Amino acid sequence: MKSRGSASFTLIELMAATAVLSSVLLLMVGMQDQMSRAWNNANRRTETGREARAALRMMATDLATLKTRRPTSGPVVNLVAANVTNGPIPFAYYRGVGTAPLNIPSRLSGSMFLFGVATRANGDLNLVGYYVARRATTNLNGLVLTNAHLFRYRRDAGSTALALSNYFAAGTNSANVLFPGIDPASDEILAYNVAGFSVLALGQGANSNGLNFTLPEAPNQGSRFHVTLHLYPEEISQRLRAADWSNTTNLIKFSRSYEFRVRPLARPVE
Amino acid sequence: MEVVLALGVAAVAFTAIMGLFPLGLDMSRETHEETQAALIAQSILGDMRDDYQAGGTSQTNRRILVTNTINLANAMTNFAVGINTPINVLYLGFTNHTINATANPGESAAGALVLRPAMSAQTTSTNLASAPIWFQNGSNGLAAVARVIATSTFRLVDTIPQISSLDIMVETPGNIPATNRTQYGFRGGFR
Repeated sequence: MKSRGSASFTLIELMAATAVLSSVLLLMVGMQDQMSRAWNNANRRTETGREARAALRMMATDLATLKTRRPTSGPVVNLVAANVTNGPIPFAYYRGVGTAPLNIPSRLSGSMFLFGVATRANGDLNLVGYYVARRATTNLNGLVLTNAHLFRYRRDAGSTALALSNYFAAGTNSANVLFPGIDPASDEILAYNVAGFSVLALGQGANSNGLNFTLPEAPNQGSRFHVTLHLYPEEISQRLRAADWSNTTNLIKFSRSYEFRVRPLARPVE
Repeated sequence: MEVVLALGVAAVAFTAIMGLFPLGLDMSRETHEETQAALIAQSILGDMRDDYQAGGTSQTNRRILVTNTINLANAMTNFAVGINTPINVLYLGFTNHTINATANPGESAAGALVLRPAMSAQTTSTNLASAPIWFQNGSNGLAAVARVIATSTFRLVDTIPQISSLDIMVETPGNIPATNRTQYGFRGGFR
């Protein structure tokens, strides 16, 4: 007769097997949690990349259609501008040095901006602008954050005509009259969690902080905008305090950067 | 025996889950590279469409920005798109550049890393053997490389600038041989 004990597990064996399996399961759950986080972070970074691409495409279209003109000094004088006393269009531009020519509520301290008059394919003129400001937003988890974002300012043809009319009627060289109603609370957020934003005009002249800014055709430099955008992924932006937003260490460690150049399609007015 | 079997089953499950890990990371990396490639192509096209030259007369050279350390506005190199040469090929090598607001006044976010073209070479042949060595085998540790082919597509008279097409192939990573890279292709036109 066969012994029953030889065909079954002892309590010790069962306990040992359970302990080993528990340890393995515990390890796997831990790993799964880590991988889930990594997956989510990768998704968010991918989303940041997609968002940057969409924003930069929109910006490239706008900048390519901005009205530019030749400098008021040099071999060719812009006759249109010369006939508007002290009121040359097209840009309100600020590089973060000196006094900004435009009042923008909640603008990120020291950040650049560019506003101009763009030409649409149907011939309409639109006021467009790009700036970085802080605005409170609620994320998917219900968390309210007041981070810096890239905003797109745009006015349709009717509003643009009115703004231009008011600008010339005022007789003052005021960017605030030319670009009315800038408000981060209502303007479109083009890219979230912006760590930095710059627009450089290659071949730019000395006067680069106000309405008189031009794209001079200096030798060997041409007329191009060089745009750089730095974004924080969502999960990083949730952890950063406002004071640490532009911290160099954080920029190097967490931000993702994107650059492109575009040439305004129309030749400067002669 | 049973414990070994249990461990075996657990190991299989564990390996399957581990397999998902690089998948997520790859997705993020590929999207980033694709975005950067599109921006590189956009920049090259922007440069090529700006036909201004010193004196405002020459249309045979385009000014391409090739710089990683000095002032953006003063770092142009000529890319010949000669009227008498039907095909011109430009090779660009990109490195990660740390933004330096002192060297490049007005740039924001000093310290951030951006991709900038650091080296260039030109040929009139699309043959890979004619490309610079750093493009062929990735010997310079570049982050990305690009090959730009300008082809004459229409000409009325030789002395009049012709419409040209531009094929831009951005390849990553730039530090491995050309045959092993991921390629992103773009096409545009300029005149």
